[in-house]
Amino acid sequence: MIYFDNAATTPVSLSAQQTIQYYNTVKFFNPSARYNVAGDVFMDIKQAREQMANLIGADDSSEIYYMSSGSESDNFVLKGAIRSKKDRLIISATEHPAVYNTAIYLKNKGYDVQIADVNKDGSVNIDSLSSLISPDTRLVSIMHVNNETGAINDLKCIVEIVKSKCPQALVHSDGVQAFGKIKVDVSKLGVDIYTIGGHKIHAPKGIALTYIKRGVNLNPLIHGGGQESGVRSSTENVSGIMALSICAQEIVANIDKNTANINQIRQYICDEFVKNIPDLHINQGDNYVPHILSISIPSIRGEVLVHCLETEGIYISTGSACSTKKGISRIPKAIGLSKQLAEGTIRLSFSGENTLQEAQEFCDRAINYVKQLGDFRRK
Amino acid sequence: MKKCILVRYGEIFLKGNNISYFEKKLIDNINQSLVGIEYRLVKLHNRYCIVDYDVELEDKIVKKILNVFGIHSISRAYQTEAVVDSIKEAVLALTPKSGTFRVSVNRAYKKFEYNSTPFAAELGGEILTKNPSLSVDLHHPDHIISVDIREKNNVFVFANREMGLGGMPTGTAGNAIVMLSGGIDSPVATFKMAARGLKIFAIHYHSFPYTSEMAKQKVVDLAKILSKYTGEINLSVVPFTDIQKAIHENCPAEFMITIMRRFMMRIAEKIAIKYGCGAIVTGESLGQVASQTIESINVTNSVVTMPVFRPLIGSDKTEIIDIAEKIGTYETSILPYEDCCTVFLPKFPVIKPKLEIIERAESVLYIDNLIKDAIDKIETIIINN
Repeated sequence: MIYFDNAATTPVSLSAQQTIQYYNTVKFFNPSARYNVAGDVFMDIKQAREQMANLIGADDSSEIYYMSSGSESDNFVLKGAIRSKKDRLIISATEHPAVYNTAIYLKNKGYDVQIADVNKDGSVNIDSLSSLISPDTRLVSIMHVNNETGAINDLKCIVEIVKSKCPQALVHSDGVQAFGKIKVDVSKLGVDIYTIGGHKIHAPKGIALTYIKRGVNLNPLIHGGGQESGVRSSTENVSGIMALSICAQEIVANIDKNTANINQIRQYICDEFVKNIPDLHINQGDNYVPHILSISIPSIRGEVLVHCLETEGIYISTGSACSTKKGISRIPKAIGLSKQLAEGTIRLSFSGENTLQEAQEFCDRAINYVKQLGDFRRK
Repeated sequence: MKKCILVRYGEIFLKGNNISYFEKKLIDNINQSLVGIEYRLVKLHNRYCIVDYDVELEDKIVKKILNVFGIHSISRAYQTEAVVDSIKEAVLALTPKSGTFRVSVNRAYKKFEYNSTPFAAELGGEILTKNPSLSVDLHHPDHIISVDIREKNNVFVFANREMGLGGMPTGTAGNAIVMLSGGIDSPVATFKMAARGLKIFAIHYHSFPYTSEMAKQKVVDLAKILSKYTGEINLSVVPFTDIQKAIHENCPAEFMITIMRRFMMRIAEKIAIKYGCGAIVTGESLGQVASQTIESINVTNSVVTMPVFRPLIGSDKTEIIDIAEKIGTYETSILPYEDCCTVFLPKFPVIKPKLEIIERAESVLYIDNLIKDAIDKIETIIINN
């Protein structure tokens, strides 16, 4: 199997599997219980929280809140920050559906939601964003790395612009596709809120965290027993929290090594595709993570290539897995691709586990299919 | 007294000497829909009575029975004996809480001591005594409490009526094969023809890798929803990619859809014969798309001799969607997986094809071989709800 869809999800690492097993069978206690063994679990979570705070450059572990998914985190941030009808929310046109559709939900409820234009690589257009910042801006939510093109948004610059025009505005970033691929330091970036998901970095599905700078208050989405300081009630997903911590440390420790490997893979695929397929379009700008490679091929439909390759045990994506059920992804349209190019867009996404040999095999098969399929396009 | 469900059949009461054939099918279908549930079905004149079931399962039983074609309506009732006090007890158990009411008595069992009208009045009086806030309205009551005295041990008292789907019992009209695409129309066509008593076989054309496994699964899911009404469906999934490629390579692009649909019809007829089907059913609606003009239908129809039923031919899209929503197929039908008809869809498909031109265009293809290859590779899926 060749798996080039790591931006959709990743296999759970061995260390995470062992951690999950341990915290579901040996240390399975509810951390809120009063006996000592449960107290141990509570302390383990405390330690994990401190590790995560250190890893992302938070001032204090009390700024780390565990949630069930990146989507929950994004929902919580947007719905928890926007309180009155005059509060303005600004997002970009290429946000993940968890932010985009939540913003549209709020807009339909009558809230002031503005959508900034994007550049051709999918990053937010700073001038457009800047023009939307009003004195009533309450929250600006801009993803750190775009999940379909890999474009990196310059968060530090965005925070400076937002704060200079509206000091009390909060800046949130969905960093689900960034964490573990580029170095993330929330203090240096200056963001108020930051979202990290587990299953994109070899932790299991069902665990995510939200960094919330001390002093920032958001209304909870889930009320109940008061866990996570009342910000997100629910019995803690202990095994998920512990596995996230292990995976986060592993991936951060290996960022440079993985990036060098992935750069090689990416370069090889780009070279082979450009050499063998005419008129293709690589959707990248100047600042991107190599882990995500978006290619538009006018002579085919991306979905057909995906199905051809799956018969060979090669897994890639058309758009993001979260949005393919809705038909053609919103993102290729937002970055100005023609309908033909949008239909012909594929996304490859790599992890540190991928090899150059896989890239070679992928290119052999994929280029061959592209040539065959080109003969059968619609007339 | 005990609880029971009265089941009335619809159109089949019009049948003459062969009514027993229709009744037998209907009872078989009711029994089939209630597999796994303990109950007893008692035959009465023009209706059936379901008794001796777990009362907690009543809602489930009613829901299943109401999906059986051929049933006009059901009533949840009390069954009791033709004894005045027993009937009164049942009537009082159904006393409404407020509003106006009427008691309606039907006395088929002539040995019962009272005539209908005075007995209805007496029962009404009992109800008023129990709940004096009620009042009687013989013409437009809020509630009608019906007492049906059929036999010595079969008196039914009920205060409600839930409507069934009507139509004819599945299987009484023979077998037909439906061309099930995964869109909105063909499941509705299936439902409408099954309602006329046809046992349904289905055929689907699958164009992997141009359409996904999920597109095929969508059709399986649709067939599963339909099988709630039709009973078991035998679905033939025909690999269609090679045929589409051959047409695409060798025939003018504007004839792609027309020639493709001629292949579909030919294959459908062969599979229909294999399963003893007497007709092909399609979801075509006149003028909806290029392949559904009179000329296109004529050209595609001309490759088969079997009758082709098009129950939606005169329906507009909103009517079709209304039915799809009612029968529960709409949400699945609108999932955005491409179906085989849109693969290689030309920019300008011919709207008014001429038979001789199409025949000449497709004459370059090895039609029989292509069809045989496709049929040899059919995947058969048996779908039950």
